[in-house]
Amino acid sequence: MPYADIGDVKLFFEVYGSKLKSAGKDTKEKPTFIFLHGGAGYFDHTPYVKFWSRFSDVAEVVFLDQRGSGRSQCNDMSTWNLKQWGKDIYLFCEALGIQKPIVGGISYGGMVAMSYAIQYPDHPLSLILTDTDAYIDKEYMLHLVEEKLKKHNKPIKPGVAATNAMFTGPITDEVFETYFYEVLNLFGKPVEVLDDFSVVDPKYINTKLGEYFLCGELMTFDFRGDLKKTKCPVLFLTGDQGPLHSLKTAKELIASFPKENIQYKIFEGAKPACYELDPLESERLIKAFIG
Amino acid sequence: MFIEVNGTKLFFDVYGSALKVEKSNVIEKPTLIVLHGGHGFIDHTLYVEFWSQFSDQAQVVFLDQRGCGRSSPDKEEHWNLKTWAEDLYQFCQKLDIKNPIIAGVSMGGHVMCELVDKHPAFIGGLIFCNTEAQFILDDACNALKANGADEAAKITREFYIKPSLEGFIAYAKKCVPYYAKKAYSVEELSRCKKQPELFIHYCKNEMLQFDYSNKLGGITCPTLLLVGEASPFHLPIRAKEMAAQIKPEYVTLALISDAGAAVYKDKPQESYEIVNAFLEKF
Repeated sequence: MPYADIGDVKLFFEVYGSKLKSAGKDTKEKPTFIFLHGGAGYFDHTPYVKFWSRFSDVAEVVFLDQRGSGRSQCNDMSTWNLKQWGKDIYLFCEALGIQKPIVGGISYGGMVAMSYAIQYPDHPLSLILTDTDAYIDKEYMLHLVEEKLKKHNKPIKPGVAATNAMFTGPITDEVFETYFYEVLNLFGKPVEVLDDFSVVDPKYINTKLGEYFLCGELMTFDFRGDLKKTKCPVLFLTGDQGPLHSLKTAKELIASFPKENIQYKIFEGAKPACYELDPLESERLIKAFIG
Repeated sequence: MFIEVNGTKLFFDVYGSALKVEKSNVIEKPTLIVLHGGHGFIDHTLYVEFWSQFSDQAQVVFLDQRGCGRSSPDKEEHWNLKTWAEDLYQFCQKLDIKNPIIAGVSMGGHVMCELVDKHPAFIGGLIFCNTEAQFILDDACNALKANGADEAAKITREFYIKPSLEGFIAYAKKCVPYYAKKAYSVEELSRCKKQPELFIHYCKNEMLQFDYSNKLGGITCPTLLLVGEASPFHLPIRAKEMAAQIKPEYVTLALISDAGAAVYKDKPQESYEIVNAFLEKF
């Protein structure tokens, strides 16, 4: 199993698709597309393979388990922050001689991709972001949850309390289950596959990191000003139903990038992961963007 | 991708994932590293067609060895089996690849012999394909003569006794066609990046000198010897000699009739099935 040594930590990476494609006398280089998982600590790259590995014919698709998540365990809490996770992408590319990568990410992974592009604006070829935010508007999220619970005649207090606890802590099993299965299930159209927890090996789940990030930097970071520093083209896919990655904050993310660089698609009725609502259309858009 | 190891920069390309992600389960696959032959004339791209077929069972990693393909050209003092084997060992250390299965074709097999000598414990499996632990020029020339290829035998002898670029051009034209019935195509060969002086250097300094016959007893992993019976350069007798040196519990000898080098060019299906069955051990 390959790991890349980036200095203070080794990152597990996974590869779908070769870099070179030979035909006749010629050998062409495909771009490298690094995809970053969401759910810091709770998830690793595995739930994302099914959708994102489909680009292996047009790119060398590389999945990373980010510092502290999955097979890239790291106990140094002082390095569990978006600045470091963004820097890790650069260091990972340096370690493996990857130039001009396309960097994609969902939710937390999208924030890491943005952090990387802010710190190293000349490094990426492009960004592909899905279901992510430039900052979190917690009060607005709680408002959306309350409205949704009301609409479905569900008890308001426990749902709102669990949502609040997910982002203030402590994240108990009860909080986790209430948020995911009683609150989030009310949002968006049902899809066949959301993020499938079941493939994430429990021995790699880092709940300490998950809580540290969800209840810490996730609530305080704000890239809205810094995204103007990015220089590369960006494709942003999102839904209009997420309480965390909401339509309102999606519009703010879009407005934060240089206007000439961003293109986007908002899937009506979709919650994260938005591309699961219409995988074929998502695939078409992403392939057209990769070129 | 590139990685810096042992003072050089190596290019590698990956076919297949390390993990097989199933609906609710993740399975670790072994790593198969493919070592090309023909250092200086050939790079990994020549081997992708056959060996990438195994990317379902293993993560297949193709390496351009030091001086070859997209890896750093480096200097002639490092163009030798000792360095290539150490590069491979450090490549695996750096990427945390444990117990790799290593497949070496021709000169790639010579590198594997050196690796067996220096770092036997970390190897998970070995596939020696169209290769030998010792190259005996007289035997190759005699095999060519037995095929009625007297001119090729003469050119072969001249080239290996006194390697030169002119000699190699004659060798490539008159002798390489005897490697196999279905040789690599001009397109396949021409897309390999070349550094001819490296191959000449190897032929001058090591090709006729190395002999790892008495090192093969140190192998402690499943080992497949895959060779075509009709190859005058990578003779079946050499594979039989190798098999005799390896502990019987580890070795599988597969001699394929009516096939040359590369054996899988002449007999693709049979070769595929043999390698496929071997990989099921892991």
